[in-house]
Amino acid sequence: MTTRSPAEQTAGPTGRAGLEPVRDPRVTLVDLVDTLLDRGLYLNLDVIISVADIPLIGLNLRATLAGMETMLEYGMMRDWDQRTRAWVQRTSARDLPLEDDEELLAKMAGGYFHDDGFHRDWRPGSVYLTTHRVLVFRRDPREVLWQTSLESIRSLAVRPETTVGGEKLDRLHLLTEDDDAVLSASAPRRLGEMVLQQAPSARRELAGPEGDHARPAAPQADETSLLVESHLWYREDLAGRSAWRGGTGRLDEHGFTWKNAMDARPAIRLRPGELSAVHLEDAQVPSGESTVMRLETVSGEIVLSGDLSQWRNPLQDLAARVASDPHGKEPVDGPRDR
Amino acid sequence: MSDPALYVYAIVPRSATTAPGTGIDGREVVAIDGGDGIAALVHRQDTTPFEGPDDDVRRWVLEHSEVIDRAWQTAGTALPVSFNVIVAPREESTAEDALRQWLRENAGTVGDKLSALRGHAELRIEIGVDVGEVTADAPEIDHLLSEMSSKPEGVQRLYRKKLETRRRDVSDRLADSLYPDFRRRILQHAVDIVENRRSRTEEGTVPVLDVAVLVADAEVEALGVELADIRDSRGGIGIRFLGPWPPYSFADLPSLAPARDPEEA
Repeated sequence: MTTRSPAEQTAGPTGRAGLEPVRDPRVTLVDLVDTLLDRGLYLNLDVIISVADIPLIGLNLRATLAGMETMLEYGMMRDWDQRTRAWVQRTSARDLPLEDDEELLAKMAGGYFHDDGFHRDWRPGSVYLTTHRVLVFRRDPREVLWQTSLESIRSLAVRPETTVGGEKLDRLHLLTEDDDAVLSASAPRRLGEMVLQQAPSARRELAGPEGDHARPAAPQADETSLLVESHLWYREDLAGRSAWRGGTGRLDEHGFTWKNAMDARPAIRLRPGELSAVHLEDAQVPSGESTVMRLETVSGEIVLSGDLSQWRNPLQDLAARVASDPHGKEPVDGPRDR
Repeated sequence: MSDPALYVYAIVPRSATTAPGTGIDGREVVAIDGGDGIAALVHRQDTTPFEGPDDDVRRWVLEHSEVIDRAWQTAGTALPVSFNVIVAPREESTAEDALRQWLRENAGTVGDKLSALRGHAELRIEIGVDVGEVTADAPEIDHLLSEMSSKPEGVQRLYRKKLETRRRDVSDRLADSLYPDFRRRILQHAVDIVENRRSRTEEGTVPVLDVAVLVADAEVEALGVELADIRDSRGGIGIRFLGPWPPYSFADLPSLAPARDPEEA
């Protein structure tokens, strides 16, 4: 490995001029600094690292940051050592005010169905379970949308509901001393089990009939009509190997997209006319699924896996649609504010 | 003991420890040999992390990276350790013993990772579109411009703001539509990829993609050709292509032996 000159272009083996990477620190210093402050190995032994003026001792910080949200979603705070927990409490307390002896147990995306007889709508935020409360908190603008003490929870049920959009989603129903609340959550059953473990007087309500009044689907970022949205695995091809990555598949009137939370933009984007066929077949997938879906597209084949039952028909519909709207653009006079 | 702690630069094969040179602020870099052919490059200091004005931090980070880079070029592989990682002594053992023990306990994982990274380099790719250039012939921008020309000056000011927003929207939609193809083409040449979170955008451009990729040495040239093709595929595309660097963004180890802490046993 020799140091290459920062020349812009060289003739490649095929005679075509390729870009030559730039190594000169005068050009790359800012990027190097970013990378070394953000990346590289942390040793998981008694190590002192300083981040934003807080010296942290003995933490594998990057793993902590990345794993924190996931661990919170699974309510695995108890598995963490005292110092990590104290740090997470401090970090989260910047957003959410906790009492002195109150500890955060779990957190996941969700919302509260607000119904005062006049306004009936979903208020999105995060659902928190602490040693004292269940609450739905919104960060911006900062507001506790709903909360109840664990003591006042009488019963709890997770019921499937068909939303106005036709999607079937589990909702968490909490009957408290003075309230009958309906919460949405990214994992309502898991949340329900965790609440049952914590709330002394809560009992499990037998699964009742499906919700008789359809509530609107949880609000979406934009107004386009959402047909299906759920977690999907995507087998991404690299040089000489492929890797399954988790992400969110989304189908609306503009087409299909798939995006991993860490990526800047969707890695798959299929507009009507770009998908020609959908095949389901048996296959072994590391995620434990036994079926994969192959999408034939204008730019090659795409392999997905996950809970495919809800995807097959809508995607086949998409494949049957012609390219009426090749650029997926909205009308000239139909601004969509971003 | 005046210097009880160890500032760590990298975990490297023993072959990379013959002339580690100097590190941050000219300190002497030494190798702590963990056995099994792996070692850590460190300098001795107290437990105080480096903190100071931005210019100092930039210089320190550069000096930190130079130690890693030298070892990486010598051995063809290295596990870069992040800036300001300092091994502190424990009650029952010195920092050196603690680090040696860590190297021994993780020798298998570290050895595998060093082998996997051998002959590969990290490259950084930033692709953006020039807002002015890619919106020059957009019909909806033309439409707004012609509307604007017939308005009085005061209203035109409002239009200019609207125009700017609309240009960014058009560029952003274009970036959305270019991303999947660019990503796929880059990945043909890469064995791993990480998105950079601190994307900095130049004035007047919208970022399409900002990634670090791990690429086999022999594949770097082909990636350069691919990027030239991408740049020339339409007007208004700008590319920054940096490296080759040691695999800073690909140093994660799958699982490490847990840190043992007598307090929480």
